[in-house]
Amino acid sequence: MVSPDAALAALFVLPLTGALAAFAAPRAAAALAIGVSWANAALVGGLYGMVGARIALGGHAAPLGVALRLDGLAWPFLALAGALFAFAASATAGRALLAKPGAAALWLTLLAGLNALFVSADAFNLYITLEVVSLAAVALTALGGPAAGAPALRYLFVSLGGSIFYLAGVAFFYRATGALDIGLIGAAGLSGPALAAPLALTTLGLLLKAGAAPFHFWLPPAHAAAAPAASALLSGVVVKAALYVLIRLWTDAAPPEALDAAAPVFRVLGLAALGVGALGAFRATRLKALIAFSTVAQIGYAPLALGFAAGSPLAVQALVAFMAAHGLAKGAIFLAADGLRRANGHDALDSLADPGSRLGPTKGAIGLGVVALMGLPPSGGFLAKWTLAEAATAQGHWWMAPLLAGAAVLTGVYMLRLVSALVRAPACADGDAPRGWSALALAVAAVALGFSGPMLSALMLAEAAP
Amino acid sequence: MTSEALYAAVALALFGLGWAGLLLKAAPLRKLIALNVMSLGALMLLVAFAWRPDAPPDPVPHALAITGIVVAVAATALGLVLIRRVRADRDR
Amino acid sequence: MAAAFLGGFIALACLALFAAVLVAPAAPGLEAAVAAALPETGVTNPVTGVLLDFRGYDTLLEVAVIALAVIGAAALAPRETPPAPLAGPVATAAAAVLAPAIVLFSGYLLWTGGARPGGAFQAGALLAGGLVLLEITGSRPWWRRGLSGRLGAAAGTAAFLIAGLGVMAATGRFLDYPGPDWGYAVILAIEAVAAVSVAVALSALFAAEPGDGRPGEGAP
Repeated sequence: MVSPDAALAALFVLPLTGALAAFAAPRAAAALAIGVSWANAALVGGLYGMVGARIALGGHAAPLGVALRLDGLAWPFLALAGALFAFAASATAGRALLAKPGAAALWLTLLAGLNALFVSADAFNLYITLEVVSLAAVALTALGGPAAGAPALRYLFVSLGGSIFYLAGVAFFYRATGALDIGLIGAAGLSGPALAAPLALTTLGLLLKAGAAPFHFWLPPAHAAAAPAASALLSGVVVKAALYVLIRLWTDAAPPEALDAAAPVFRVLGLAALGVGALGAFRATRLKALIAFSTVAQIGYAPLALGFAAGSPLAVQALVAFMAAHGLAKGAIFLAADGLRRANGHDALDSLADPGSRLGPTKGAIGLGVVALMGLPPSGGFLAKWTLAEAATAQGHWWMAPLLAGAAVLTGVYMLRLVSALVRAPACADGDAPRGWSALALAVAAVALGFSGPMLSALMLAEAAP
Repeated sequence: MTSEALYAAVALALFGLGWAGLLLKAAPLRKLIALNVMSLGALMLLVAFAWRPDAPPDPVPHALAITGIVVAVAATALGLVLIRRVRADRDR
Repeated sequence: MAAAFLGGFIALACLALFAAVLVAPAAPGLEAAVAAALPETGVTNPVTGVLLDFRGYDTLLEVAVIALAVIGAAALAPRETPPAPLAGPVATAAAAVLAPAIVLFSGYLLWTGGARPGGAFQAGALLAGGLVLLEITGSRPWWRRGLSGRLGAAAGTAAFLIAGLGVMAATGRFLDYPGPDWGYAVILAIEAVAAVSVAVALSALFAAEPGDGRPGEGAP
């Protein structure tokens, strides 16, 4: 039996060692990235049995040391990253990206940063992991080619700016509590300006980094310009990293009264993102721009659900389901879009055509991915919406249920622009386009997530245990 | 005014200057320098909060500031390379 | 107009933060906890104790961030002609005099970090300055090119990982150093490797060449 100390340390030791090896030995880099991505997925799968573990790194307990904890909130995010990295690395788009010099080492560093972030229990340690994630993600974005440089640079500015706001907030938290451990900050029971200053700074920084409306301006260009496999990671899990820290702070570091007071703001932010993202998706002319704007819209579900999460574990559960469903579906759609683009030889939305029957898995991935994004039963998106409607209705907000149904229709309408390509006359030769099995696997996972309701509830209960 | 308040005032002034520069300056190099000013402000805030009346300062924020400086150096280096990259791609 | 509005907003926000500093009371920090636990680390400088022992994991990730920047810079740097070296007599003479002194003093900074201000990053930054000085006065920068450069930039993180896993064999916990005597030895060893690695990495970041190390078009 492996000790929790070894298992949790392996979460960053494994990918970080892989990254260093890939950097030192460039010839073996791509194979290393694929192998380590799959080994990491297996490791995360094995960690399911250890949910609830908490370790003090170096044997120093908080407040002096840094703690890692694997709870019911952390595991789904680790699993999302694990699945996305494994399938995206194996996809043709992933292998094309990993063949570029430096890409494999950046890929594994990004994975190490995300893993470390999801298990970190320390506000300052989270700052460093956020920086690892940002810098690796920016560099991967810039590898998308000459057109990706300028969007990557803007992404870097926004992301670094967000980190600095977050760091200033952490300084205020430390001043007010003498602690950096998120649980200890929460236990201090802050209120008034001592709570408002750090919470405002960290929230602003994290919303910037997540690309939540109205700070979404940088996201569609960056996610559209990156290489397809990088886009799958960026939309699928990187933006979720900032949202994850946001959830942590508001549910663990801030008292429920603070979240209750801020709830209307979060609801408005969420609804604004849904609207702005949909509008952008309607107006997009390129395939990848459409998908990137859909990310802007789907990110909105995070603040929206946070707006109902004060004292409601059910809303947090809905939030986790939203993030996981969107991550898997978006990863699938970005990878499938690459197949569609290769088969067509271009990615202008209005003239895309059916890629032919050999690309059946690609078409299936798009279909199932759209089902999950819309939140149709039995997909993970449906589970998320159902749970959120339940949580909101229990708090007297009956309007959420029709609103979520309306949002599904809206998503369907703009995603129809993509789906309609699949029913046009098969006018193109499919050439060397990949068949799309990796994309299909992710899309199936996004739909199958709809059956994970009891598992998610059990995970949330595990979190409540000491 | 305590030393903490004085240092915090300077830190927040730097933070605000960098913030304004980041939003108002268009040239990438200026934005990167503004980000550095802003991050110095945040790090100086840590140093200010380490102050203790009539006692040596708290070492923890000092250690955090050193870590933050190193992270900022790495981020700045990557930013500079990216700026050169964008310029080279544009001039090609 | 928009600029004035934004500037005013930022000024107000910073004033509000300053007001929060004045109004909200400060909690006691961790100075007492650090002082109580410092004897078991083997170092007497509390900042070094926090950096290398209590929050050693932060420092591991921070060294990894430097390696990440080197990886990213090598992947993204454009192929450009490097600037001509400063080959004048003053520059060369200054480099010849300063370089040995820099090596000596960075070694001192590394050693003294256990008890007084100093440590791996300060030593590494100074050493990097020396390497940059040698390079801009015309020395061939073998330390940051090819395999030696890649291994050098990765060595700091690797040393941390190896030490972290090594002590795990003894204590069962990642990065848990065994006792003050051994702990001090491990800390000093990590710091020495990290300082050299940081120096190589910073000098690679200063030059920021493409990863294959081939000079730009038209280079001499």
